[in-house]
Amino acid sequence: MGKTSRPAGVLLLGVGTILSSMTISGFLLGYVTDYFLDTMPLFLLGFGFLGLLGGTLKVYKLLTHPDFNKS
Amino acid sequence: MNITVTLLAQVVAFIILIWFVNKVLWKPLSSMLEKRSATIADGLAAAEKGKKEQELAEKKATQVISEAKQQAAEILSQSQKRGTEIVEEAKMQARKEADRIVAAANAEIEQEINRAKEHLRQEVANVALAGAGKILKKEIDAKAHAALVKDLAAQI
Amino acid sequence: MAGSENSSGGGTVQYIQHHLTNLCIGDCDPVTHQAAGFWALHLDTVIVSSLLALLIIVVSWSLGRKLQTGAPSGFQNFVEIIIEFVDKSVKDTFPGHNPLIAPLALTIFVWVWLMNFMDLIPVDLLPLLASYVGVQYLKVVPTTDLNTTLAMSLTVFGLIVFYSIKMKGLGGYIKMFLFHPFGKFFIPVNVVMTAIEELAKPLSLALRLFGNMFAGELVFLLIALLGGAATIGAGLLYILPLQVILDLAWLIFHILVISLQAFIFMVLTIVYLGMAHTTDH
Repeated sequence: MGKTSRPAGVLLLGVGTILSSMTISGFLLGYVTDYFLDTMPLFLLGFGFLGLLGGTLKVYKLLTHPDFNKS
Repeated sequence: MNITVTLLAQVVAFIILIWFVNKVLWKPLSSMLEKRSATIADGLAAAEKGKKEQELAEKKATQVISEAKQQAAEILSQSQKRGTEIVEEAKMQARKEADRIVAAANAEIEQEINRAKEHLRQEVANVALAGAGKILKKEIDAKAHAALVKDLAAQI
Repeated sequence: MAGSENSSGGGTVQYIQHHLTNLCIGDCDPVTHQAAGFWALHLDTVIVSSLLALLIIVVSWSLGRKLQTGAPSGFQNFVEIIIEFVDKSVKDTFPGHNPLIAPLALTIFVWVWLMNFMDLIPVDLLPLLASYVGVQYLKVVPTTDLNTTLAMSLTVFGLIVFYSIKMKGLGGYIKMFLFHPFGKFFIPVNVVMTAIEELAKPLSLALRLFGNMFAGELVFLLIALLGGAATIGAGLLYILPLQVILDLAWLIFHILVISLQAFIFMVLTIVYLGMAHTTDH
């Protein structure tokens, strides 16, 4: 990972918390949606799953394509 | 979790702090740093300029010196040339004079020789005439044959 | 205000819990002294962080008035090193130009570092002093309060949204939500996914700092407990030096941790704001 461009390399600092924070924010968003739509466990679970999926995807992307953030 | 109104208080504190840091610390210090780097750059540029100017002056000085040297050499060579020229001219004139004198002398000698020849011819003609008169005493009248004698003398 | 459970000589759990309880006013639970609703103010968090902010302001103000343009000396040199470090980080990771980013990064770095630094003060010292003046609860480190870290990361989040809309335009920002991870055939999923992703940025910032500091504080508490247990037990001679060594080791390690966490918070803020400034994404 020595040849990564600097922004992507710096982004790797946050790779550890991406998965958990995206899952949490998925659940959070689902909770808020459910709260307003009164459909309690539906969006909570759905968005939580999406967050988990997105987090996994993002971590994968970050680790396999180090300079994806190159502008 | 206990998310409370503390959150809002901290947001406000954070924003105020950002504003203060920007105003009190960042702006004066970064402008100062900029000024300092500008000063340093100016100093370096001035030093560079001075160096360049000195170099230029040195170059100019050497150029002037070499020019002067060249000029001096030129003048020297020219004067030498002029000197030889003068000498040459004098020689030439002398030679010409000598030639002229020689020529005049030669011409005089020639003239003298011619005159002597003329004289000699006259003499010879006269002697011949006298001789012939003596030989042909009666038959030849000097006056009658004067043209003939003259012609003869010219032929000799 | 003071509950009966925080008397000296309490159990281990109570000791730790007591140390991790904020000085709460307003809508608080009278027994556990925890915040019961939204309208509860963690007074210690606010006061300590504000004092540190005040320290930054006063120091920088007094420094700013006698700046030396020539060769800097002593403290100014130190501050210049920090500023140049922050400036370099910004220039390395931030595309384009925005005059707000560098002071923001500097503020985050210095403030977070100072608040984390409160962790290095012996855990019992300030609460003990506070108890003499009648304050029963005191959680010294503001960054072990999720409110502080979340407040900063939400401010950063607000800036991210603001600059995203400013740079990409409202249409561009919405487009990013619609088409970002999976292309145009998954628009509903994309909206949720991008929203989650954007929300995860401040959340990860806040949670990382909070988690690290909370864990660090906890370790300090546990090390302190070692000595506390020893005063009752017999093995004082063994445990006390062990405690000192452990505390020192963790202290030295923790200096690294607090600097690193402050740095990470700063750099990720810069990077996230930089991503908000680039049009492609």
